[in-house]
Amino acid sequence: MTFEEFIASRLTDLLRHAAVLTGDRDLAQDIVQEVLARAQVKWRRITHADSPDAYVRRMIINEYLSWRRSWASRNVHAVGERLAAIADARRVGRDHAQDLAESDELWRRLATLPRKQRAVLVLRYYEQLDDAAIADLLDCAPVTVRSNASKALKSLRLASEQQLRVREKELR
Amino acid sequence: MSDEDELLHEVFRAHEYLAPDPVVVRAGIRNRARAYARRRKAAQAAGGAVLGAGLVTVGVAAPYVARNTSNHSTSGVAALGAPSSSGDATSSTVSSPAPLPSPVSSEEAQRALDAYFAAGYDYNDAMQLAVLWKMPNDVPTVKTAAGEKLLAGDTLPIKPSSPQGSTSAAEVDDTNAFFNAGYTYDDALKLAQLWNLPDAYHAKVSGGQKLIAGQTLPIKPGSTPSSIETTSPAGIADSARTAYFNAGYDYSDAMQLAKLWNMTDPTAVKTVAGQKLLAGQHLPIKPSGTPVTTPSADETADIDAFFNAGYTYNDAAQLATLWKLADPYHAKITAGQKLIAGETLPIKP
Repeated sequence: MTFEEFIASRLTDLLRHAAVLTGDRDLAQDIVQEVLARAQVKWRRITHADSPDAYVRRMIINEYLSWRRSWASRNVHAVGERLAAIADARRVGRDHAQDLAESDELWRRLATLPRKQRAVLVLRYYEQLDDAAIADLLDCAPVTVRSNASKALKSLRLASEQQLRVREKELR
Repeated sequence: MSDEDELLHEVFRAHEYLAPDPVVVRAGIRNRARAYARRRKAAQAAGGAVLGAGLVTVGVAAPYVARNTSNHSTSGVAALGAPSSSGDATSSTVSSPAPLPSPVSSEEAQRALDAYFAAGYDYNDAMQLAVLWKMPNDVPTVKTAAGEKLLAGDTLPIKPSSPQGSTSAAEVDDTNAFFNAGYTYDDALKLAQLWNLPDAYHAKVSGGQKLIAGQTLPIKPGSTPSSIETTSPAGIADSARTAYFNAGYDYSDAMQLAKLWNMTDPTAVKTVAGQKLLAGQHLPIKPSGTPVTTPSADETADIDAFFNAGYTYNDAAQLATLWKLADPYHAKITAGQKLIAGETLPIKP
């Protein structure tokens, strides 16, 4: 497979993956451009890998984990920015406003997680990979994956509980 | 799948819309790959010079070379599990030369460029797109990418400077003749002044017609100094946003303009709007605030301190209410002064 063929067939998916991973369109663009520019230069070597796709995904994740620029301050998407998109993605039968608020709040809290924890959640719940595959991608042990996932979920739940307490206080 | 798992899956999927535009990313990849290829070539040439320079140089460089050789051996094909997260361009200097990045063919590029100019876009528009698409120092690639998008039926995030549909095939040929002779956008601006034409576009067409007819132009190709700082799109963006705010526009205006221009990123809207203001054009809405005089160096430092601490325009609006100040602008200055003095603000960034 040539680099051009790879780009033609995989770029859209890689961009979605990077966007969800980073939560930031500009950062996703920077990372994918950077990684694929490097991949293009050494494409002959990459094609010898078992799976060029897995290799490039790993490069994207590594780039995200090692990205030095402070991007947290840019990661301030307006809450409710894409309510319609989220609404479409949510199941029916519940109060939509409540669902949307919940989704927005969860997305905002995901942005506060350490990058490795976020990466684990993206790979597990978005890419729906098992822990062994995630461990392979992140070059760590499966137990580390489980530990990161557990910490991330705990942080998300704690934040959620804290927010509930604040709301209860406000209602009193 | 539990409810929590499902919710996470759906929240991630609902944000797939953040994926960048593939056409722009492809152009960006070409842009960066060319830079890497040039760097590799330079590094290989430098490597040859180092080898020729003898033992002293090799002795000094030895630890570096050893480290990179080691990296190279672990980041290759056998070690699929560990592509290097950075420094590939450097470490690959010891590998065999890779093929140069293959840009789109010259016919495709020409077709894209023709489409770009035929739609009424020009160099100045390409500069704006370069800022929006983060493709520093590569306006030609921006024009090609924009043309590719137009050919694919997509729209660009800015409107063309020249009226759309007014460009005939003959005018495209004239413009091409103008640029092929080595003339630049700045030359066209100069000629527009000399010939008393309304804009650079008309100068390009007239200039091209004269060149095709075998005439010479009153200035030499590339003889006009650049009126635009082309080396730093980030600098252009900063200047544009400063002009935007100084004209009295604010975040809420940017949101209105975003709707009018069908753009989603308020920062990009402010950049484009600021560039239009700098070019002497008017915006389709009036500013919400009053135009401010250029901030002093101290005020600029205060505002920088405010934003560098992670605060946003909304925070400034909140602080203005808390401190009963006239507007968010004054809140930014007051807050910045406090931050520089080591004080904390009553709200978190």
